[in-house]
Amino acid sequence: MFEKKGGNHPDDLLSKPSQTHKACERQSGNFSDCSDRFLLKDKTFSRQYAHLYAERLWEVRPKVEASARKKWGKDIVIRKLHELKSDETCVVIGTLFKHMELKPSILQEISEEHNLMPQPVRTKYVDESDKLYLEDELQRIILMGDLDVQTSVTGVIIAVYGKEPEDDQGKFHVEKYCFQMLSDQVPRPVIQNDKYLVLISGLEIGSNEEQIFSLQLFVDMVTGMLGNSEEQSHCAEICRVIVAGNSLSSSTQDKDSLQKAKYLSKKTAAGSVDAVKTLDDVFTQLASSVDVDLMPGEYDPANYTLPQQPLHKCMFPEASRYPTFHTVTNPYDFKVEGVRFLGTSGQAVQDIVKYSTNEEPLDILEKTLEWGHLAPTAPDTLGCYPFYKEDPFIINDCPHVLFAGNMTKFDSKVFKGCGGQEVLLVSVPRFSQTSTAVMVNLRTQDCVPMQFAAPSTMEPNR
Amino acid sequence: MATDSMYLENLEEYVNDEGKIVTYKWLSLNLHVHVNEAKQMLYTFVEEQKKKKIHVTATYFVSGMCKSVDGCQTYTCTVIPEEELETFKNSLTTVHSIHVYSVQKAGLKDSNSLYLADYDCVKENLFEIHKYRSIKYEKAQPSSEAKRPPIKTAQEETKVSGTSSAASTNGHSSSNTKKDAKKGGIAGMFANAATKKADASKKADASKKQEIKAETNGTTTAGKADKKNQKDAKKGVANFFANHTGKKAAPKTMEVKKEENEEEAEKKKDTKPKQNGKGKRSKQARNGDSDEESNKKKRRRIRIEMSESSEEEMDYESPVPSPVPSPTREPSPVPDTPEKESPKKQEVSVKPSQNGEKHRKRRRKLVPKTFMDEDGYMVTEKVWESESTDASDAEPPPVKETPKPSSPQKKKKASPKKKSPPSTGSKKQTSLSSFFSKK
Repeated sequence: MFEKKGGNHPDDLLSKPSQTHKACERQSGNFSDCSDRFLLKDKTFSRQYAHLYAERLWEVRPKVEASARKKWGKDIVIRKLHELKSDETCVVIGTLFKHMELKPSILQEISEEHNLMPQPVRTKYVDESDKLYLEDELQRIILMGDLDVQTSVTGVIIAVYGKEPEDDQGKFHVEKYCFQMLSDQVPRPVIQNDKYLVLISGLEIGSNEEQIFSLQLFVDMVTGMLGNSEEQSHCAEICRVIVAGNSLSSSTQDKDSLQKAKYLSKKTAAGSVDAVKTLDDVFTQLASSVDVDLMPGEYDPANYTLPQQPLHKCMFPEASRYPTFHTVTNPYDFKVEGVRFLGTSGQAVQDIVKYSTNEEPLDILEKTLEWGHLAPTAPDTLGCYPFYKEDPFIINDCPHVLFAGNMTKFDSKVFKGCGGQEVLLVSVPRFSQTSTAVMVNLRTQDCVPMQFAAPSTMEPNR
Repeated sequence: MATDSMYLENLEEYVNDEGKIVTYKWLSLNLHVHVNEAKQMLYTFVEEQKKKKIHVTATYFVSGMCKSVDGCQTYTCTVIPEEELETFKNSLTTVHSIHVYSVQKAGLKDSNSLYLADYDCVKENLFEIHKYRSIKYEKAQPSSEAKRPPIKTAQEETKVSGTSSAASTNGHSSSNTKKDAKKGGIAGMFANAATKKADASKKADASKKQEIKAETNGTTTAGKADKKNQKDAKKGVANFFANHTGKKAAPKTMEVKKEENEEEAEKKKDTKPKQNGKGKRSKQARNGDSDEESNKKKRRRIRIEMSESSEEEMDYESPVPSPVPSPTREPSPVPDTPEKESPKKQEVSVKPSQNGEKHRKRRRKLVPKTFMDEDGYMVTEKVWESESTDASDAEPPPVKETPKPSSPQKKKKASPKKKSPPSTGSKKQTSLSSFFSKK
């Protein structure tokens, strides 16, 4: 991926000191932030989630209708559930609901009839007996047929083509289905030079497995301290670094201090305090050389519900002195050099993994593009803010790059949409596990993983 | 070149004699050279040492493309010891760069020591590292340190207020004014110290007059004024303390918090009497408030004095007596807290008493406060003891004679006379006690 400019002299620093060392200028990309819809303006939690679902259906229905007409012909009959006639082949549009036996339910937890059996924590809540329902504003109906229950999730707006048979009332037999069409992509401009954007996530400072030395190598590399001058000029082409969540580790969220007696935990500071100080140093070094966007993640000191609000700058007093340091929302939507990026810190993808048989993060990212929704399982199983008149997770503008942080490994794929769209799907791995960051070339939409290995075998020479 | 030979010698010293791990970053920051030059310096050093047959180990940074497990090209960057250099180079499809990362005497066990080798240096020079890098980013200009001044200004204010209040209090010979100043000092550390300095000095004078008025009139307004005087006096006192003591941060922060609570409490108390129209209710409210206030003040003073005990040589008289009159106004509504406070204060007084004369003084002041809240008799006795160590004591005799209900009144009388007159609203009672004290 790295094309050598001029001669390759990897060994040129294994020489006598010379006085001439040029410094190169950091590239800066034209940046514009499109995440305004993820910032919560008012925070009233006294609403019910029905508004969110209603809004979702209301907003997506026309698009799904257009997609259905395009796919199955303009003369199809679109019916609401209460208007269904038996044995009439028609199209129904509604929200998908997956009924899962093993899904943790608060009612079951506190139900005295069930003898208060605690529900075990599982990694997957899927079961053979899961059913799919289609719900619109007034009614719901069971779906049978070609729809794959196991890979579907709750909350997707779908159009199903089929009929309700006379002899099997209450069930809708599906022959075909479709989702919202991905909108046309705004073609990205042609960029002359190579410019890179680095994605990194899962730093997880504060845990035993934190890769602090690898992180320092990453910082040194991006800021242009490591490598010879050629390499440093390559790194000067990195115009932005996105930290996609989980900069603190889950162990800093330890709530044992709440359970312990006060006299035992009087002088113990929270684990997150030291971790945040370390992070502040890291980000200060980074911000002094490149634009940094920090997204909150599952284990970061931010709100739990999606969309997560930006971390407060008071946590990073030194780094905040640089205007190049930004704290942003999760999910994050922005444009650099005309390339539209959309990404999350991975909570939506992980939730879909839990509640369906989908495993591969890239498959799930692809599905979210097809479904047209970033986090369909919110608010059912994923914490979500009770929106009233909007659903900001609906994918209205097709991005050029869709990324999800905190995945188990690095992967990337180019998804080709039916409208000619090309979306680069990137799964950013956890740095604490893999010491790998991802470098995206804005010119070519290529993706290269950057791995920083610490010296593992160093024996004392004695 | 002079620098060249010098750095070689320096490196030799660092590595061989001090056993330090010298990384390129550390060298670059210490010798103020470009990072690439530092790497080259390290390399020449390693070569020189090899020629001299002196044993040093070096770690190298290697970066290149290698084929990962999945088959995709990964841009790898590693730091490896010298021994593995060749094998690693061969494992890469293309090599981008190699340079010396660090030089040390003995081999490294793990990456932590490498990380820690330049951790301190980096932390100190966090905002200067960018000078020695290869990449400059013009947008990244740190803003000035705007966040630190607020803390400093608070300290500066206290310094200034301390000096001015000291000047004002030094002029007064009586202990009352001193006590006033001290009370004001503690209270006023956080609000506009400058304005309150002037107020403190003025009110210190006015307070005496008001005390007399209070005794005769027993109006609520005077009581409030006394409270304010107390506040100002406390400010003066705290400033006085601040002046003489070197340490300001810890007691100040503690005082700040207490001050804020105190001010809020005082504000609430001030509003309460205003709201109550009737004299009795207002008086009771005031008294109740003053009780709580004095309790809080007592607690705070104890803590403040605890923190300042080792440092200060000031009179501890004023803070103690000032709240004394206020609680004594109402012997009946005695909350449980003062009882709890009294044992605490006893303990507190015990500790400082072991140290010397200064603590003796403390004892005097501390004890009376708490015990004033309690039932008259018990309290008075203790007051006696405490005051016996003091030279000026008109209180003991009148206290003995008076019955329980009047004893607090007497104390109120006595305390206002001697010390600062923060007593609010108990002027009627003080007038009675003044009658008795004449005997």
